Amino acid sequence: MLMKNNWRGYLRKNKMAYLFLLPALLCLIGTVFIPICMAVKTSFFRDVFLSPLSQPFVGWDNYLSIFRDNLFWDSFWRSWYWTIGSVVLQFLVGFVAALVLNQQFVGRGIIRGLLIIPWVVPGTVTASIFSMLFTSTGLVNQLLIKMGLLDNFFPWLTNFGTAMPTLLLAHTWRGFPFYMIMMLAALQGIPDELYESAKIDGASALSCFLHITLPNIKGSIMVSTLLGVIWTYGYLDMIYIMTYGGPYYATYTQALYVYAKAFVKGDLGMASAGAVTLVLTMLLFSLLYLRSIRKSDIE
Amino acid sequence: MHHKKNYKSMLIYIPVILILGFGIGPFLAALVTSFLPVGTFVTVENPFESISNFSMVNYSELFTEYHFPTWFINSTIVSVVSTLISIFCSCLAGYSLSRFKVAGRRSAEMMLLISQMMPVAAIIIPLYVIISRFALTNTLISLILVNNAITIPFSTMMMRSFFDSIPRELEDAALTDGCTPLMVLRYITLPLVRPGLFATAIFAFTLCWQEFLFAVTFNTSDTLRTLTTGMASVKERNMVNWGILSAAVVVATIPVAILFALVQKQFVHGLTKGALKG
Repeated sequence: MLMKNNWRGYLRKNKMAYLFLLPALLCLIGTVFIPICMAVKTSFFRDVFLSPLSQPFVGWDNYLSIFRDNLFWDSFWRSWYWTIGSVVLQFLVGFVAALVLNQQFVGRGIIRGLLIIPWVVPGTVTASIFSMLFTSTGLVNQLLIKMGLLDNFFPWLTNFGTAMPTLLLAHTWRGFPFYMIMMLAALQGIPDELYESAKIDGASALSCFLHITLPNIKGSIMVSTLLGVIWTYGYLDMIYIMTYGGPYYATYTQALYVYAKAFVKGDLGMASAGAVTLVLTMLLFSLLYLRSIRKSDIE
Repeated sequence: MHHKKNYKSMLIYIPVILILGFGIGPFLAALVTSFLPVGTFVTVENPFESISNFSMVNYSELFTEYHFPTWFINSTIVSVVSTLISIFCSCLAGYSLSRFKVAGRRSAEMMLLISQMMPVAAIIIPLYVIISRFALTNTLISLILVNNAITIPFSTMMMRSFFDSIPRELEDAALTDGCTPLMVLRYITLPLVRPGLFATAIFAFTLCWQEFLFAVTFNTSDTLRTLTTGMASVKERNMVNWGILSAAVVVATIPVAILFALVQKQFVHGLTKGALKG
């Protein structure tokens, strides 16, 4: 009798479990999974905005056209420049900020709060602020001229060589607080005893850092930077507003390639093929990410 | 000895000030510019000019010459409604993932993780096709619907971590006393998880407040812009008026900055314990 009751209770609980999951999963199926399936399907058809009546099946043609497109490969590698540049810079600044905030000083809570602000404001805000700072007559040029480092106003965002570094700087500003939060949490998770016993053994600050701090936060570094890569690779907002891929494609990333193929050129077939490659690249990194969270869970 | 320690403890403020300068300096530049009279810039010669020349003209022009109040209201409507939907969904889903270890749970988590990693640039093309097929372009409903793709994965993982931090014993006790699971959730678990729920809601709100690509693609009418796309349209004019743009920057920042200040602690907990765990 007891067995039967338990079983029934379990079933009822199960029904609840699935019912509770339903709304969230339905929303995601509608907004993420059905769209992905549609993109996969469209990528095998000729689908151009202006001729909606003829949409023949073309097999791998769309994929072949984008793989033959030099601009696609340029934008692919530029995406990595954008991604690795952003993540490395954001991580370094965020890590240093975390090390500083891990010390005891008056006003630490307020300063941590202020430093999160760049991460919570819209990318549009960041893009507007940095466009203003780096415009020809902007504050940065004025400062550099005043300091004697520049003779003339320099067009940071419309110069081929400096557009991407300027974007990276803006993105570093926006992204570093995430790593700061993650690293600070990791640092605070290291037991104090480890440092105390190392001090008794006469370890220097540097060897403490190398042999206690780094190994203990390795997992968090891995997880947060992989997540950073996944978020940054397809992130378009700031590029869209600050340069829109220009000048001369200097900031044209794969995400912008896909976006512009669809909404500027109107070639949905090719754009979908590009979107599928974007999704596959991200899935690859998601697998790496999943493996690293599993690993840090086991540890 | 004491003196030396004091001196040493002051040294920490050098990196603190440098990082703080990097972190809020750019925003301060916008803040100062927004209070300058029309056509003036912050200059190196006189960075504090705005204090003597304090002027609200950029703000008044922003609110009268542009559809800025409409954009602000649009952003608020979209963000609030999206947040309510995603909090409803993610609260239930997070509770389910935290409490019931049923078959298929792993697959549900996998779906959340995959959604969390989908680049908006990839799903926006089919979403645009769907939205225009239902004649929802140039509506706020379209944005409210698609924002779920961004908010639900994160909110669910955060809610789950908050539920995880509440001991099950309380619920078990109520269950043996004859409460139904739904009553338990309503009267015991939810009140305990309220701070976390609040933090998750603010995070979801912030994600919607930041959203740009959907809004710029789906809505082209000037009165249906959100704050982010409205701001972009101010910037795209032939002659950028930096003062007005700065005023828009300040107004767009204040709500999320205040909301975040309210839930900083829970937010850090939710992000570090929940959002990143599979």
